[in-house]
Amino acid sequence: MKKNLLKYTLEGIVIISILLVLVFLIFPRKKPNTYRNYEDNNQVFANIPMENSHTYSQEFISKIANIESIIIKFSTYNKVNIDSILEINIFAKDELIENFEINAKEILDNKDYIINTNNLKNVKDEVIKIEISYKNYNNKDCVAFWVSNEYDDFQLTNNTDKENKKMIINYVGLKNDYTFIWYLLMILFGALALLCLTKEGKEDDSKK
Amino acid sequence: MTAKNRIKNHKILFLLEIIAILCLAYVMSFIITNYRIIKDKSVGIKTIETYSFVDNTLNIQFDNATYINKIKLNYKSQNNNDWIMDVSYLDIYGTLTNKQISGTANKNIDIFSESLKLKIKNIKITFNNELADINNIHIDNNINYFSETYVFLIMLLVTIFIIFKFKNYLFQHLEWLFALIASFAGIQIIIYTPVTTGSSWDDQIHFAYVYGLVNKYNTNASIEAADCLTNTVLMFNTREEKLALKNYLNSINVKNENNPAIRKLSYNKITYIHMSLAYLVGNIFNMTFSSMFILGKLFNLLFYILICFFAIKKVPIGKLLMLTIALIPTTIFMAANYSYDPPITALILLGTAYYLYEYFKKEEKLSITNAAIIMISLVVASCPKAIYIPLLLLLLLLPKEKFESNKKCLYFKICICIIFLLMMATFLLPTVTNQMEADMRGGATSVSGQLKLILSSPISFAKVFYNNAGDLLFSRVIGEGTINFWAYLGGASTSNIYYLFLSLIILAVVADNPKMELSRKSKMVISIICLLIYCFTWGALYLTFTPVGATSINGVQGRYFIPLLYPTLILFITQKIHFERKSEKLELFISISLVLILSIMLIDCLILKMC
Repeated sequence: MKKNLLKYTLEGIVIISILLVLVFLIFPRKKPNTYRNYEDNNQVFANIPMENSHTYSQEFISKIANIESIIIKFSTYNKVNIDSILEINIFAKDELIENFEINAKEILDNKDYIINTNNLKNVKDEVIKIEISYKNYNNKDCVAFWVSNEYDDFQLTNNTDKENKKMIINYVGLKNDYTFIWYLLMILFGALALLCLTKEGKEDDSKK
Repeated sequence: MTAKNRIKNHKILFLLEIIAILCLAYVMSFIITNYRIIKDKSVGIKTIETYSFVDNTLNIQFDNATYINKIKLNYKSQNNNDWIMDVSYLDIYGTLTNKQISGTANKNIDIFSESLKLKIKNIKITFNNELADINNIHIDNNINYFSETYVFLIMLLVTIFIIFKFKNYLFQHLEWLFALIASFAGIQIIIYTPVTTGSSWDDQIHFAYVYGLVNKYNTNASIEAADCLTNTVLMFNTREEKLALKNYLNSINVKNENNPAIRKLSYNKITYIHMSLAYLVGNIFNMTFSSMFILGKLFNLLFYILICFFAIKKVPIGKLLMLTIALIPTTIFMAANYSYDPPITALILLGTAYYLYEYFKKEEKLSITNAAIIMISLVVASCPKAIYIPLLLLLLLLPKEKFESNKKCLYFKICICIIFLLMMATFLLPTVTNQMEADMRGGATSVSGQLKLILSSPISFAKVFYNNAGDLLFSRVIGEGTINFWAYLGGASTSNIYYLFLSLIILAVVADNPKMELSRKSKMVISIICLLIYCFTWGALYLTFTPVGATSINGVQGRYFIPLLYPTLILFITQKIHFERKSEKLELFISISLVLILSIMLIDCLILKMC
């Protein structure tokens, strides 16, 4: 009885895991790693991943009709102390919609920079692109900072790339949401492996 | 004498022994702490009136060399202040010698205190920022009636007393011996280490993850207090500074129920859960922030001890070796701080122990419970660092006799292979698809850039790899930095304890006298697995932590290889060596040596600095 219970439990785990994997495969997310959608306050958080160049851009597909604001959160190791301007351009349907500038010295660690947008109406299911570039960068040393959507993903760093005089941004990103399927599959095969160790039940014994 | 009277007498004797230990500890502690002050007839607090403070540099000149136990001053500063202290003192032969000490004065506290314990002629302290107000500079040579030394001596004497008193039981149940020694060292590390981050490797990041998992529910630990520990590294050296910072953290710990910074529990943070629980428990008991911070460390230690306890209990060969490895000073130090390395080490030890149990019980079928423990512990240990997952392949070595049928054996092993591949995919797929982010702490890093370089010049990369991973094999796997180094608190003043520890490991391997031994094939597979993990670690850090094109691989630390020590060293346990030994003498030697090693680390890295 106890062994059968164990066997049924393992079989249950296998079936649930298969179902969950199927659900995730049938309804995949289009860009799981690039945005989070907070529909309650109409804000979209965008991640800017690392690229070793002056300009950093990220595209995401808007899930809401009217984006009222975009929040960019920078993480810095030290207080940014360079004479540089960050230019932020926001594109929708390949058109420049918004343009902002932030003085790099004003950037504070872990602070939300809320950019209120006026022109991002009726953008549901449209590609939104956020582009960040540096102007007037002429300092020998630089302090790296990056943009993130999650307090979770901050890492502290500083970096100097004197040769190329480039500001290197690093984003320690969200793990791809598909990781969940990975772990689900692991549970599935783990349960299957254990199922191989269960002894045959009474019915099977009588058949023998 | 009746049996009842005998038990009563034993109890009285035991009580007297404990009282004697307490008294002895107090006398010893008093003498050790105050000997120099009394000898130099310099008891009391002396205010320094003559000094100069120019260009952020404080200069104190003494007409005659003066014994200074601690120098203290009060200050106000807008920023954290790095300082360098140049001290001219009389050495043991009376010769004037120079010494340099450095540290950081915290902007949030107003006291600067440094333990010197030297006969000093001149002190020069240079601060990197201007201090707004500096006053009350004084020498503290007060008699210390109660110090950290007292706590240390009590715990040391009680531990040694218990080892001798209950040696018959402890040496037959090595898991209890481990728990005793680990508690002795771990609890003291928690007591003496600062109530702040900056003691252990990346502990501010680990703390941030731990705190982030629960701060939604936790109204007793505010984001302001947590930020203090996550965003700045607050170093301090003495008891006074520790107390001041503790008070500061508690004072800013305003209840904050509307905290937006909540982290989701992702899979790679699974090894933080037990530490996070401390904050929930602390909340129930309305504990202060600093108490919850300490409780988090305690929960990590308890988790480590508990898992290793069951691993040592279960393992059929190399019990003494596992005990020694589980008591590596570096691991115990990390276990008593915010770190996920000790839980990983403990879980790998547990998985290996249960695996070996099943491996040697050839006549019994593989039990579901044991198989589940092996799989879960190895997979959970690999969640934060997937690099360790090849250890799961050990299950493939189990003979088919362990299964009901050949078919089931085959299916089981196929499932294990799939789990292994899935876990490997979590870090290999992002690498090959160029989605893996490099760690910018390493400099101008780029995974794709490094990968391109490797593929374009594979022979040059092989040379770089050999020059690093090959040359540093022993230094990283079992070097002094791996065995007895306490991160930012430094190492022991002597290397002797490192060599003593190495000899203990050799003894534990040689003197095991096992009744069974791993087959040649198994030894071969285990060594390949360990080598694979070793190479993966170097490779991963070359990709993620080393600037593109660098010829040295950065960021590889010995602690990454501690989980591999036991699986590697059991390869040398053989029946061909028979070690003649008198019963329990070896266990006694090893356990006392381990207590000694941990004590020296405690004294050098913590106690001498605190009091």
